[in-house]
Amino acid sequence: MLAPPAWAADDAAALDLQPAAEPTPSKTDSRSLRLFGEVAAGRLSQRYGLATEDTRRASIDLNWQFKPSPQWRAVISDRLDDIHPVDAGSRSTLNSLREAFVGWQAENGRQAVDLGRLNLRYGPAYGFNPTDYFRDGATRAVTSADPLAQRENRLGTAMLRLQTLWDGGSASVVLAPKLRDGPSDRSFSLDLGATNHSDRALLAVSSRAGDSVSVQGFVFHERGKGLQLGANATALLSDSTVGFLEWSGGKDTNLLSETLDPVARVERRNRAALGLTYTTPSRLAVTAELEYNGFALDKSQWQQAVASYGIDPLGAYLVQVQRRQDIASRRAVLVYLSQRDAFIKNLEVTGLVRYNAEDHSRFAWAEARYHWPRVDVALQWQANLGRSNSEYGAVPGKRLVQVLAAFYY
Amino acid sequence: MNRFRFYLLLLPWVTAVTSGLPLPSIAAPDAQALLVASDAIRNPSQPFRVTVTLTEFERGQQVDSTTLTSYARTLESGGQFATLVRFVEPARDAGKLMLKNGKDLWFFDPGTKSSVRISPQQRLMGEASNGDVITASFARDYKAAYGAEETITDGERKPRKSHKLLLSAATEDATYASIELWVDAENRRPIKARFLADSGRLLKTAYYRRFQAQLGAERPTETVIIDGLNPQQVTLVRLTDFAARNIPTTWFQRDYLPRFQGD
Repeated sequence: MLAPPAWAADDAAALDLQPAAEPTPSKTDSRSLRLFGEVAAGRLSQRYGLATEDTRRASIDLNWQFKPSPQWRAVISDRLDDIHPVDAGSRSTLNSLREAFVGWQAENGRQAVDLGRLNLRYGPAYGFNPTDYFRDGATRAVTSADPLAQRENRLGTAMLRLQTLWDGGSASVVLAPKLRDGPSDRSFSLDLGATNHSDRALLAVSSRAGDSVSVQGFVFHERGKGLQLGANATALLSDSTVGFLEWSGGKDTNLLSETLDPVARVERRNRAALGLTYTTPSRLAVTAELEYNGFALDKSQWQQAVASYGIDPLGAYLVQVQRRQDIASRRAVLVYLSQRDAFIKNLEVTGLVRYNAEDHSRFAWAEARYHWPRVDVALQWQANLGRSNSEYGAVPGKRLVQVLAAFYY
Repeated sequence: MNRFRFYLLLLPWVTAVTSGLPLPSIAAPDAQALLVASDAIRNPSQPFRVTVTLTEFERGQQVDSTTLTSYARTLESGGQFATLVRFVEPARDAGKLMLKNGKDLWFFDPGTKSSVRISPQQRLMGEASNGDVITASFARDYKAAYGAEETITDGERKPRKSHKLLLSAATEDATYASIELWVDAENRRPIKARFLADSGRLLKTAYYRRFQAQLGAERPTETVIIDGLNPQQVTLVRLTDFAARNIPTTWFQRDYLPRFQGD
């Protein structure tokens, strides 16, 4: 095999380089349809003497935007997942109508109104977002343990949103009515009961607070629970470090009571997340995040619950926590790493560890993903680690290895 | 010329040397004025949109290509540019946004609906740094000193008489500690720049070329960027489809990103 000709790495040689294809000016950015498909296959090893299972999934994901005029738009965002095997009670084929709304904005962009199912997301933290008030029930199909990927599957909430913007800030009022009592596992359900199970209202105000600090404040009310106040901030701490903080405090249901009691107990507690993202000169981004959830179990409450109810009802607690996109322990830690062009060009390596600071159990996930222009191929590994009566040690699925391919159109 | 008149001519020099006063000299060109003139050629003065195509090479082989649409304007008179960049290609990144406004740098992913503050060290597009695709006025963030008059090889590989300017960071917003910039002596066009770290280490070299009439001036439509640490890595930044646009100032903040529709 012939070696490629040596390339003189000097300015003159660089000035001779030409792209393989000339840029095509007609290829504008007004792409109205984004579409991708994904297939995955893997092997899941389990606890409790359960047999090792083969897993497979096929997904189609589309996002379509129609703009009849510069001020109006209509958006449809939908995803269809076919998953085997599934948890008890879930269907193997799940369609998620994530967004369907019409929006208007003034010509100068200072006022806007949106009506329909809209995916409204707040909060700068990576793994746990106390100020993301519409996260409850929003994930219909869990296809990845990566918290960033999970957000791609998330259902929007049916709402009316009014927003006004000024230079450097904005204020929004959101009204999200109750439309159904609870979630549906029917394959092609709109599942409005998952996202609109109670009347909710939110006031959000955002502002820059200096040259490299941004803050948001929130007042949130849910009928039957009460008022929550919240705030978050992000700051550029140095050329390589970003810091973030989220807090929400007020009335919400105790998560264990919500799972096991006929009438859930409403308490006044706090949730918070605090973290840093540091990027090394070699482009390794490391995020460390401390998480606190006053509505979740601490160490003694967990042990007491295991003694009182056994480990099985706590499985229902963990499912409920996942549905709420909360954390199951009073204190937790997340470490998230991402390296672009790892070892070779276009290879992206990502990993995370979730650590339950109460029972010391861990969840680990890693992915190596290679990008071609229209195709990604990835190898994923994940494991639940810990003692048998711990959060992650009690989960039936012990280890999963899977390969996936994604095709972009 | 007799000897007496010769001494009279020398007198001011001798006096200056012995008294410690500066020597009278041929006035050097105004470095800051040259920088302002060069900036005006690189960047249109009105709000504008442009398509940016990044082509990456390693060891002379093309390894990646990214297409973006950039919207830029100043938010106040004489202020720095704010830039909003939308990814067009590759398809997996289509619709993603990057916003630069002062020290604020945000990345928005329409898939996750999340706006994430990023640091200048976090790169979003291959070997090119975020700063390579944003519009920036050097004159606002750097103080220029005159270096020398030099004849250098330009981006078309032709010798060109130039003024070498030495730029040092003057504001906290400056991306680089210092820049060496060569400006065409004839028409103030930027020809070449070397971007340096605090330590003096060369970060990258840029050649400005393919000058074309765009939005009222002959502007460079291609920049060749050579990595300072690894000269095997080269990025061509090609600018096409310049268009003046009435871009509202409200676009340049985090909360507008989920509603951004382009034009």
